[in-house]
Amino acid sequence: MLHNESDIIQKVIARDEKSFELLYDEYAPRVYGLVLRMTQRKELSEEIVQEVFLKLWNNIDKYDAQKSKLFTWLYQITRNTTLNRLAAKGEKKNRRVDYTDEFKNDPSVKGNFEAMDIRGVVNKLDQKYVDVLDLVYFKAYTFQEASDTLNVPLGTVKTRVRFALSKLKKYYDFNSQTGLKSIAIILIGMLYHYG
Amino acid sequence: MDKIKEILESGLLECYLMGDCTEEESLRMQQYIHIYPEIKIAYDEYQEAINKMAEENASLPPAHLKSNLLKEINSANPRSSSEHSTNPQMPSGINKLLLALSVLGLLSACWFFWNGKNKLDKLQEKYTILQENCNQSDKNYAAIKKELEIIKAPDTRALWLDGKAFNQNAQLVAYWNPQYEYALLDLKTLPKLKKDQCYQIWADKDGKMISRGTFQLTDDFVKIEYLDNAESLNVTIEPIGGSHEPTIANLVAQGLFT
Repeated sequence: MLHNESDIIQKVIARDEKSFELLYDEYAPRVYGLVLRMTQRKELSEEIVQEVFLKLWNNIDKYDAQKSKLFTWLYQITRNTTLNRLAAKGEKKNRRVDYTDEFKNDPSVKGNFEAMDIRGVVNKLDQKYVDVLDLVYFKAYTFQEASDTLNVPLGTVKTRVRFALSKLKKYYDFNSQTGLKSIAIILIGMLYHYG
Repeated sequence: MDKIKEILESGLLECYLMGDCTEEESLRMQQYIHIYPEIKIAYDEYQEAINKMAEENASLPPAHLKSNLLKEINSANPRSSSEHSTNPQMPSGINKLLLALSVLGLLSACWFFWNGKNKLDKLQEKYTILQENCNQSDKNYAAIKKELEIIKAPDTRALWLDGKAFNQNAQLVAYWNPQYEYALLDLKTLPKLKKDQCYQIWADKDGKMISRGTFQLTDDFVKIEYLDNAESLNVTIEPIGGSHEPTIANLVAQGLFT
């Protein structure tokens, strides 16, 4: 989240392009990464990202910070826009879950292909949670579609999504604490060494 | 507590997070988040989780995407571009310089205008004074010219008045013209006056002394009132403002028409 994000949002509402650029710079990589995963097509992803941020520009006055964080709002726009684009192309149901070779070898995509795989991020989660989260979060499936695809009851999909999200939150908290602990250990070591 | 558990296990919160809820479900969820702190905490955790996932999977978009987007915004809403360029909160360095130069130019123009106007006003004032002076000079010249014409006129009679009869050192000339009914005094010598005194001239007609005006010592001609068939002119010293009757004891000069 940007420092003084609420001020920036107000300026964007007042049609300030510089502030809009600040929002774009902050959130475009997250949106682009999401859309790449959803569509697995670079050119289409670029079109969708452009559409998402145009929607942000045109509808920022409808955003309510009391209801959600800006990224949550952007994520919902991204998800719906991507779904609509894929539906218009008639591709949604036929999307491949695996990444294409073109996508894998594109140097403009940050990191390596494996790093973008949710299983690489949350490998401590059971596969059943990874699958449902991958479909719902990264592939923009509805809960019902995920239920149909995974052939599990709708209630089970909901429970798994909830569990996966809770686990992810704990995982990221743990990682951030581990990072702090690592820094503390390094600092103590340096003090010991040079002291 | 059962209610909270029921809500959390319903999957509605996840649905709401993804933006998949109906409008009615969204409103209901917003109320739950507002009422139950546990649900608010869970919702915030979910928001944090999807944000973290997105950060982990973030990928830098191509640079042209941003420029295309900004062009699109400008073409869709040209007003925004102009507003941006003139936004006082975030002006660029060039804009600041242009703004400063504009203000400087405006101030200079105002100063030149004000200064010029000030000078023009002063010139106008001087011109008005000069014009008034000229007009007055013209009037004076016309008056003097007329006086001279009258003095030179054949009908004008120059009457010498003096103070010999009253043992006063007084001499003056009265120019008397019956045609124009015009009379002037040319003062030569007169006794000094006190501060509260003035000279008064009287015309004697049919045994009555009729005032023809008061005056002070001056180098200019003194205009007095003409009177037909006057027999003599007499000058007395009177209190400032003149008297209704001459103070005979103060007679300083006299001239007879006969």
